[in-house]
Amino acid sequence: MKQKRKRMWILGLTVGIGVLIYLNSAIAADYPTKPIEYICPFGAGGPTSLANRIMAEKLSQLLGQPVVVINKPGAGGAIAAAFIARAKPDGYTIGDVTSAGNGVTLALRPDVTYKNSDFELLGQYGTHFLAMAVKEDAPWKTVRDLAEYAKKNPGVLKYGSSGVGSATQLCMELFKLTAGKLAIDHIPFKSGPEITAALLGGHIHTGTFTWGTVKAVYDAKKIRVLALSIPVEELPGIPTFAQAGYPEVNLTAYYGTAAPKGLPREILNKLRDACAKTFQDPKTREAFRNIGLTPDYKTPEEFSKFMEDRIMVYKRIGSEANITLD
Amino acid sequence: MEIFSGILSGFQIILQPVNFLYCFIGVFIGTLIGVLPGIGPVGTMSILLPVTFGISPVTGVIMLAGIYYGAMYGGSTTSILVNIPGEAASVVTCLDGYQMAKQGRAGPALGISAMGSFIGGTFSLIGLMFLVYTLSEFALRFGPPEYFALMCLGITTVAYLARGSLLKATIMAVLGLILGCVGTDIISGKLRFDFGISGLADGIGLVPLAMGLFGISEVLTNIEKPLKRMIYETKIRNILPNGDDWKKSTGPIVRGSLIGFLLGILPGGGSILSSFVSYSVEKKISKHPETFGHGAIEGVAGPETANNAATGGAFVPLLALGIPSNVIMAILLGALLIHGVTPGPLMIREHPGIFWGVIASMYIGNAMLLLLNLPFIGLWVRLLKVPYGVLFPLILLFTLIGSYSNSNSVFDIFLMIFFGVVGYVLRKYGYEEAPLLLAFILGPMLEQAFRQSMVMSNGKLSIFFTRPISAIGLTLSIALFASTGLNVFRKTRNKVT
Repeated sequence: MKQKRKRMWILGLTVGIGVLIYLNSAIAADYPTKPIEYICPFGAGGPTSLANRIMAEKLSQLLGQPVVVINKPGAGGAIAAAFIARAKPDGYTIGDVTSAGNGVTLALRPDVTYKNSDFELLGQYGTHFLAMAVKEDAPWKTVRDLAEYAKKNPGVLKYGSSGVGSATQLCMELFKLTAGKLAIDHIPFKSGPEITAALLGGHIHTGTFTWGTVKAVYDAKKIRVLALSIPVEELPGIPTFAQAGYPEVNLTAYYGTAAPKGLPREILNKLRDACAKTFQDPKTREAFRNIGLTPDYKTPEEFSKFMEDRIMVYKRIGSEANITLD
Repeated sequence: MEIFSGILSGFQIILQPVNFLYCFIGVFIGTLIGVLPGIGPVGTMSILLPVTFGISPVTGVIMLAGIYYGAMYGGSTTSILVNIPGEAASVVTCLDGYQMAKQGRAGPALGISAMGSFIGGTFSLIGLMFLVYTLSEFALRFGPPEYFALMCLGITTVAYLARGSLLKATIMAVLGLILGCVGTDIISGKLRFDFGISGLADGIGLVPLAMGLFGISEVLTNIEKPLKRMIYETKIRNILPNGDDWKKSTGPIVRGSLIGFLLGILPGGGSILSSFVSYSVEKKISKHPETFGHGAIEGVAGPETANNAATGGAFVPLLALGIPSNVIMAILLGALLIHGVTPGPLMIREHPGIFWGVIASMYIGNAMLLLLNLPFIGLWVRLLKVPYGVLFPLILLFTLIGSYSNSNSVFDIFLMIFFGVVGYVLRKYGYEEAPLLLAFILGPMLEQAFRQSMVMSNGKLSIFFTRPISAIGLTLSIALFASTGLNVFRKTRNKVT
């Protein structure tokens, strides 16, 4: 009798668990049944917010539920990253992982509350390459000219960046280190457009710019681009830093999508699939290109490896150029 | 001639039914969000941005721009009626607008700000049309030293914002400077005064601070004196400004247009700074400065004109150089880029239809706003008859929603409530909020500009006096500062003797 009751218990439990698993997978199979929040780590109006809103259109189509972009700006992307990492892993909160919040911040800020293993990556969607530029009437025609000049006249040249810890600063610092500890002083500004204005007004001599902020003035021949951080198809005439003799200077800003760790398998696969399709969708890629973002799809595995590799680079620049964020 | 044929083609574009409709939708939404405290154009525009992906770029930008200048129109409404600024740029309007409302002159205050907005908006459009390239070159000459001088000039205007004691105003300004220091130091990247709270890493938000100090504390103050608000005790007199009002307001509107347009061109401060500067100028040159702060119509006409004139100015760097001077312009830039249109030096040649279409739409939109706002005035004034017990929970609700929607941060709501309580206590003791807010806005920009200048000059202070614009600006601020000091000195001496 006792034996039988025990067996009934076990049977009941098994059935119960089975039903639960079934229900759970049924829920996962139905996913999504309500709008999905997409967390953007930067303010409305910035290029990342714009890219997110472009993707959200296609993602909504593929997933059959609205994907709503929510801006949670602050602390160089760290507030949004912490929010995503801590969100309920049910597939209704996803968001951006970027070279800022999940790269530079992790490398240079000592007290970060999240790590990259808290995220389930869904793929990389784009890259901002950096372009080193000077005013059109500046005397330097090549990167080498500029480096020579800086060596002979230490402390004369100034460069602008869009803030401490930004890709625009780190790329320039890496260049300075690589070219032999050049003394080009750093003037931080608050945004990309501000440095462009400062360059055109002659208040700074150079800087490494994201393409979206300088494309218009480059097309109008108001600035000269000396080097690019990676090869760019549309700009065949401009050398990369590597071609100019500084192979290490290949920094970019990169952007991908992630969900919090612990997502049910089915939901994860659905999201990865939707992201892969969106990030390779020709119309979405065309729109990215229009706003100055280079479409650059990486699978979650490739992206993860790339991110870890970059963190090492940021740590090195940070320690050699003495940059910390705390 | 080119300009005239250009603008004519622009009018052909805006008069197409679809563009006309979107222009109306834009200014209508703009007016609404302008009226609602805390809910600003930035959030609204970015939510509506995807709507523009599917329509032609010119139509999309016409709508988004409409939201922007529409919000500047609407922003003054709550400042005047309930002493709560609808937009940060309407903070100054509270000073005299609310006093006018208390005296039963809410109608003329709303009327003059609608007319001033229209005139300022239109003036800046004409400026934009004729001088866009010349002015963009001028704007570029503003580097860190020039900004430093400009911010110094801005800070000296604190003295004109004081309604009561100058000493208390100065104390509040210093408090504002201190609050402005919270957050990441721009030069070193180090965190200051954040007490380990990540919500403070980027500093205290302007919206929670302003909404707390003005909105919440206003509600608290009013709960205290139940059902005895002066506004409905005083009989509401005329709805529209009368001849005398116009006579007083003409000068402020003309000067406000100029100030707003010029400051609007400069990236960063734009419309907020212009409204503060316009108020100070009016008070400085007025024959009756003592009426300011007690319902002087000049103190409403000038700033409200200036903040709308600034909207036209803000388009200059975007259209001429492709450089957005504020977040709103960045959203407009995005709306154009998506369609493969790059605003900048080549835009007028490559996409003349968009360039002129947008400019023409702003003429039409400004006229629409005037027609939309004037009939509303009667309605708004009647709103004051709504019992406060009904009105204040609504105000509270909208401020809460507004401060959350601004950055989607719960922390900001608590921050706003905190500053609401602080503001309430400060009011009780006769400390005014406006100087605090001005210093809070200008302080960080002042510090940033100063330290950037120091890197530029390798630490030499002479950089501020070798560059003409900054030299003029600084000399002017020193003179203003000295003249205020002298006035105070004379007053105290007279008291003593």
